[in-house]
Amino acid sequence: MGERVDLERENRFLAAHASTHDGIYRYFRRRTEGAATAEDLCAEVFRIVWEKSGHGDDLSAMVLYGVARNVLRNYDRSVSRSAGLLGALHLERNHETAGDESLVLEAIENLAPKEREVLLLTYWDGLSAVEVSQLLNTSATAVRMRLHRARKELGRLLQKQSVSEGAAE
Amino acid sequence: MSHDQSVADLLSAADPAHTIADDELIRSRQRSLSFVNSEVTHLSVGGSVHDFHRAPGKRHWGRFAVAGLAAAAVAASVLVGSTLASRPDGTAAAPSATSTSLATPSGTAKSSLTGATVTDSFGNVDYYTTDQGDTLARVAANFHITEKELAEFNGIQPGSALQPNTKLRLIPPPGPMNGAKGTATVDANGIPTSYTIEPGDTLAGITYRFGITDKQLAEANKVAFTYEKGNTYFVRAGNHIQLQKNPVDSRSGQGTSVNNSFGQTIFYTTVDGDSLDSLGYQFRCTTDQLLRWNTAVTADRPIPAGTKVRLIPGEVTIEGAQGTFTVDADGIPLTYTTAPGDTQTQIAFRFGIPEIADLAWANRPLTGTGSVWYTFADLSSGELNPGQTISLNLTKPIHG
Repeated sequence: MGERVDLERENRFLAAHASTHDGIYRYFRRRTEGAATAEDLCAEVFRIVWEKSGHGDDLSAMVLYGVARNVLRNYDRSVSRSAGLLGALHLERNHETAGDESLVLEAIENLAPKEREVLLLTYWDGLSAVEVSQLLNTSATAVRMRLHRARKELGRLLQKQSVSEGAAE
Repeated sequence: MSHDQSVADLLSAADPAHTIADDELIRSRQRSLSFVNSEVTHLSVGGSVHDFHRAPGKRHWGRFAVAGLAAAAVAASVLVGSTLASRPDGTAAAPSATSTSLATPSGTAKSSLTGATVTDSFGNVDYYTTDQGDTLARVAANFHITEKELAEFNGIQPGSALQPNTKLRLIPPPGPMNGAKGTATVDANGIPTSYTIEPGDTLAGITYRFGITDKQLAEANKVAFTYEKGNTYFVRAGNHIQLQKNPVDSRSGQGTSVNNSFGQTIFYTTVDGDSLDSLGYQFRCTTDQLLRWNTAVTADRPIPAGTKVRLIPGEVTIEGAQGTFTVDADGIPLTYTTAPGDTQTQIAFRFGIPEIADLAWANRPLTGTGSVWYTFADLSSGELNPGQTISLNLTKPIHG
């Protein structure tokens, strides 16, 4: 009997892993520096998920993203503590990225954290408003509102950048 | 709406995930599965159990403490970046009877116990025969188990007095237990020698039941000790595994080796005293593998001194690596031309390449963001498109 439970647990875990691993790995790659960190954090997520699977917990994608979000928050805290950069967004700087993209990244960093999170979960991680609302434990309406504000603000920041660049030349 | 559209475009163009290489994903997938214990089919992608004997230690995988599960026992003896062919004498952990520096109350050093011991092939003490004045507490402390355990192993009450000349068992009593429910064979001295794995068994359970370390278990089975998979890739239901190693001649292992560009020994020229066992423990190849890769060697006769033994499949094609290859003057592989169905894992295994990342490094493109230039037929299984000539040599990389 115990074996059947183990097998069931393993299957549930493997199914959750197969369907969400890549997304979660990308989630970390977008928000931390480098592949090694993303790999570490991703492994930590699935270690926790494996433990959860032993308690019969729900292993849906949004639960896993929730775990990832907490793991990232802990990681950011430890990094911020050591670097003294509280609240900084640790986006990977790829030196080969074109100027346009780094301008966008810079604008993203200047968004309010709550708006930025909704924006990136939507456009980078491809989550729906309902999924984002589950993850952030808020209403879908609030998510849409934040998203709208984030888009507007991003447009404004990008415009400002191009203006100030034009002025510098 | 066109404004929204342009925001979406700008954002997705700036998405850092665009730079993620395929092997990065594959690696993370494998690593994040390492918490699942035993019998997971994922760990056998593309080959038999035997083909994974050289599964290497990942370079940075040890950084992350793996909690819980079978790995708990492993954590005590993390072998980060373990090389493949550790010499048997180097890997055998110190027998518990000689590691007296740990947690020994003052005055109860090893020398204080005078009774006879029975040790297994690795030097672990499995039985102790009491002498005048021995107490449960002292015997337990000496062999680094708790008094309660020692009492349990022997079916006696903790704290009870010991009669001289009592043979005490220092490993759990025979028979199934949690994590090791299978049947074992035991030799005339009471040393467990082999074991058949049952579903639900764990590495920790098996090593505990038989009083050996995970590294010793790996050695007994002539497989590399790999921490990152919890070393469970050969712990599968139905497998008959060895718990002890056979004696080897003390003259063995002194022959000359040829390493490939990745530092793995691919040829070994034998000396007197070398045997299939000594080669197997030293280079972690099973007898089956050695016989398959060396048609001149036979199981029933000693290997003549001066025999050049191949330690990788090389010319012997294996499933998932059926293509052709070139070598340099010393027989070290240079290039490989892929055949249909070839996978990275099996190509790496066939030529003694420690990990896929090493193969990738020999084939890194000089421009762009991909980690390799060669192309895949199926990314998730690491299957390559046929007809590509790739580098098997770090010193002679191909960049596309």
